[in-house]
Amino acid sequence: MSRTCDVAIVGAGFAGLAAADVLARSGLDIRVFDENPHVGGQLLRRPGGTSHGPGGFEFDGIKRSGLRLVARVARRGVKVNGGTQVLGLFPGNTLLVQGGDGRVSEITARCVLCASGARETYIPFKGWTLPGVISTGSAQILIKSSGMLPAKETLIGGLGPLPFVLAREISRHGGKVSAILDHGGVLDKIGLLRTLPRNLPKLLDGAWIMVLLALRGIRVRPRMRILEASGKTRLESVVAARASGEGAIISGTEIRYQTECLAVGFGFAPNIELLLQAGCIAAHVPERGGWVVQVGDILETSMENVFAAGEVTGIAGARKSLIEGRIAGLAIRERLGCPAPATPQMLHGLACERRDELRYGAVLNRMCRLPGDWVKGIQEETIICRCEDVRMADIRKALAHGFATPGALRKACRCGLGNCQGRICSPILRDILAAVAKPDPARLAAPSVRPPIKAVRLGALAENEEIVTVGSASPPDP
Amino acid sequence: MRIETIYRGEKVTLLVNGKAVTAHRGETVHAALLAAGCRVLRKSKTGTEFRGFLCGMGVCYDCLVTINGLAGQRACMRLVEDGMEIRIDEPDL
Amino acid sequence: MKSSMTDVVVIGGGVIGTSVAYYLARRGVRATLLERGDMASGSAGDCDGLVLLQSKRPGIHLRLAMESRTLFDRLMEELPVPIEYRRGGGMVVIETEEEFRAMERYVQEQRETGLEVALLDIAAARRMEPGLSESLVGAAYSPLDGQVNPIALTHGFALGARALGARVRTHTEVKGIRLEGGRVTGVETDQGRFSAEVVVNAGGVYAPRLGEMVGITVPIQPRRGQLLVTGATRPMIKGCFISARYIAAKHNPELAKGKGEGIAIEQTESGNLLLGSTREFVGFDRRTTVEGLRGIARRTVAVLPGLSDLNVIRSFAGLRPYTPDGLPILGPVKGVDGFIMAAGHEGDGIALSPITGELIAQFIAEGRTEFPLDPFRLERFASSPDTAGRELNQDGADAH
Repeated sequence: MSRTCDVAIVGAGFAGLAAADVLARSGLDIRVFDENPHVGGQLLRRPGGTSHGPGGFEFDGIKRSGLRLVARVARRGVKVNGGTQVLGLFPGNTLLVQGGDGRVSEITARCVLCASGARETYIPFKGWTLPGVISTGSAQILIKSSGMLPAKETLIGGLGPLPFVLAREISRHGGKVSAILDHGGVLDKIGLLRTLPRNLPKLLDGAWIMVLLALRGIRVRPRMRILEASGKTRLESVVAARASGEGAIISGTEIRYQTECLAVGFGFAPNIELLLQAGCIAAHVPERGGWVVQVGDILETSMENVFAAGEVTGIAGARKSLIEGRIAGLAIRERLGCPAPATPQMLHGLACERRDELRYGAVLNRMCRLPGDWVKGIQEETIICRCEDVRMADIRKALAHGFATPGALRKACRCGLGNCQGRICSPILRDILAAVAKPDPARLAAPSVRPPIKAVRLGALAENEEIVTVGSASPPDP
Repeated sequence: MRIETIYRGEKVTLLVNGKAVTAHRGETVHAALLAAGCRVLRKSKTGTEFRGFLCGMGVCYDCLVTINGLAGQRACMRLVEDGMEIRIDEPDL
Repeated sequence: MKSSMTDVVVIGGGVIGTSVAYYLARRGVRATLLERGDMASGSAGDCDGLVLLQSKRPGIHLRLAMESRTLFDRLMEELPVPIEYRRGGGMVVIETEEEFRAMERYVQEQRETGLEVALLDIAAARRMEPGLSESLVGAAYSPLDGQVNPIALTHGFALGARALGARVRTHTEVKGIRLEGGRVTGVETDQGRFSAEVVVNAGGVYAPRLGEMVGITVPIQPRRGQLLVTGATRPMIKGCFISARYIAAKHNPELAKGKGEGIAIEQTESGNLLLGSTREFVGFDRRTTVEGLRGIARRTVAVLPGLSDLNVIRSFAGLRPYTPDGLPILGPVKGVDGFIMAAGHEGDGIALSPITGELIAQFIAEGRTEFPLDPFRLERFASSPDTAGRELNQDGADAH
């Protein structure tokens, strides 16, 4: 791989591929990196590590469009560097990259597009760290990428559409679903009607799923709260109870499920770590799903020639990612002096579509918030930082001592200092701080991120083309 | 819990803590271990609890196993290979 | 504006400031510690925890460090937070014959100052630390070297000070220092006014800004040090390591070739290895760089090849408060009565924090100190013009 290129795209999901598609026709030298072995990101997964294959019927044709996009990009000769993780973005637009062979190298791009997508968020409860408690996304990946059910029978809980979509997938493939513990209510879903008529296909899919679930007799319990997961070394049972509209647990409504697998899904957080590490300005925008990178109309970040597209600018689903990938691709082509024909008109149209999708995203993100002061109900033994075994009790103690910012808690409790670098606990910690410590909002700064943004073998960092001699007899050159 | 109707790649053999386990090309180590009944992988940082799989997509670093002698590998991000040697720190099988 | 009465205001909630507040409180002196951010949000929160004697220049510097080290054992028992102090021994790894010869002289001087230290060939060194590379020449070893958790230490000092009656205020920024007739009378902050007869400048790399508030020049500059953190792992090393080259970068220009960088390695109580370091003059930039990451990784595996398979999970950088002669600036300041300096520890802040706190508290409470403060006073820069205006060459080593 040579040391420079015109455009580096981080992430080969909807946004990255849409940009690559636009850029492929420009003659520019583009490189696409994705940490997964397959192309297509989280949404386009098919067995065998490929992104081809049969899927269920959906009214919303977005996945079909996605599969066509994957094929088109491949046809245009764009090679995706799979199994490749980007470790950092440095001044001058130099990316530090670890390839599938484990070697670490640097590549400098004239423009960088970060399309690193999103990850799931979690609402902690006592025992959520037990083996057997998984995310709905994890279950989806098992089914779609490896043709595997997460268990013979799965209990599902969470917010928003994820639990229902998973239930549909599991039952379609012959698995059993004990129940869906919806932490939201029926009224939350009504908000989706506001996104008609544009989102009719999505809503039809949603309605269709509800019909299928009912036909299969899968019990949906609204306004539930998972209280505790228990077991000796792995999950054995789950206790849930009903919550009032304000979020208070209604005593006497507890239900216990015997299960070895609980899949939870509460929403998404944008993977903006690379952009934070590079120094881009981020903002906390609840209707966009939390911390997002700030971008202008052409999706350029606060750093020159660094662009962002897809879930990283706001959680709103595949369609927005497709639109933003196109916008970024067109903008980068223009920036690098080989604009596509009719760029201004296309950008104008895309901007309108983008606004619509952001509105849809806002509804989704509102659905993925727990009502009321849920933080108060977190039990003392509940683990908050999974990597470092930091419990709610430790955090409350640190708060009492006056450590009331994310940075201070990191130092006082080690929250966020583990392998995942705070990806799982940061959103939870932010909610805890916002609710419990009632600090000045300016103190709830975005987490500071330093490279490597993903774990990398020390030996891989150490290797270099230069020959290093140790213990030489002659003095080193002045 | 392999889904019967899905087309699968060719069989491969893995060694999990010395025992032979069958998997199929294209599956992740996560999936192969789960199919073999492994849900528990290791102890937590302070050793008071256990960890298995959570996010399935390389974010949480829960599912760390040793693959071909290299520790700290995320099982969910690796595809199985014939002859792959996997060590689980704290299996509960 | 609110006004608060106090005897002493200590500015800076890092390891030095909190130590001063703690030792003042122990002596029953009414102290208020003011920190503009969170506790340990400056250098004390972005450093390793090495408590080394071998890296201190033989003479007054080393003696100061030896005094400080004895205080750590007591702090383990006194402070309300576990500080994870451990005396696992330290090795100065020697990579070339040239360095070995220089270390022979250095070890001699260290022994004359009273340090227990031995020079080992590589075979002997490897018997103690099997992870060392065979291609090294040897190592100097002292059983008195150790490590501590710097954040826990800072928190321990702060919480200990508070428990003994000191006031500890975070998110309180000093905007000005009030003088009347050449005497300090108090400080102005964004949270109100604090009257005091004594103000301690424990501002670390920000000490010069505080000095400006009373019209003095404090020759402290930030010198960046980058560190890598590995994932937690089983015990891989017994003690800590620095390079002979690293000592040279601080003290002896003949040994400091090129960047004059070497390693600084410890394994913390939580099992992570901290791998350092760099020494760069880049202003207040606390980012880590590709060169830093790669360089530290290379230098580490050259010394401890067995660490190659560990995962690096993050990096960070801190700013050392550098002074032209490598010694901290401690004690009263001529012309500004009541203004006390306690800053400029350049990489030695953690190790020297106990003795600094103790000496400053002793000086404030009794007007004198058992250990001489004169060699550390600010005035030493004015009296030798070439130290005050000394120019630094590219790699940061002092130019002679």
